[in-house]
Amino acid sequence: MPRLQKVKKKDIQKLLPDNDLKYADEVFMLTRKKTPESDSLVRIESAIYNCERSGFFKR
Amino acid sequence: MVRPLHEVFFVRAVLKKLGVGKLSTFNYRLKTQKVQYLAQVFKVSLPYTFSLYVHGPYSPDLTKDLFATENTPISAYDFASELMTERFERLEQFTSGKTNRELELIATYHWLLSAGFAENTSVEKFKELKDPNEKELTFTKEAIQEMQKIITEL
Repeated sequence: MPRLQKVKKKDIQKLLPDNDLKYADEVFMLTRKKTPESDSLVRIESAIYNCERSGFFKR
Repeated sequence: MVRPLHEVFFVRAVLKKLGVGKLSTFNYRLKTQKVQYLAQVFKVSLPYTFSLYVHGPYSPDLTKDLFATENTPISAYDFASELMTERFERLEQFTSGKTNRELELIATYHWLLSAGFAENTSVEKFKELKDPNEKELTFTKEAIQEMQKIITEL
């Protein structure tokens, strides 16, 4: 996976429920904070977890 | 460093999945710190800054975040990507069955190597800090080699 600054919405989309692009904006926003040592994939998973936890995907 | 709350919950979810994260005793907290350190090495969790303390790498920010959210329940989580699932399973296998002392030895030696010390210097500092016997020293070196091999494969 690319570093955080290179994360693209299509990278996120592939991991979302039903590949649904309508959720990609929310997840993308949650991955925007840059942390140099972080792996972008970990950040995407973290964002997806928090969308699941908040019930965002059920809206 | 102030970490957003939603990230702290993810870190806690990963720790819970690894069977750690309880805070009620010193041994639980020690294990949680070492497993979080290794979870970062395996790129399974978000990064905290660790410094070397009496019992090896320790992150005051992690402690603060875990206590601050202790009473908030967290949800179970299955990783969305296959790569993260694989990283997690390899980490789980690696930490499984290891004692707190063993995790402390591995994390300490890894921290020294990561800090940029040459291998000989790292060994000397490691001996000074942890006073390992020959068996422990061999175990730690082998565990680090195994860990590096796994990380390279992932």
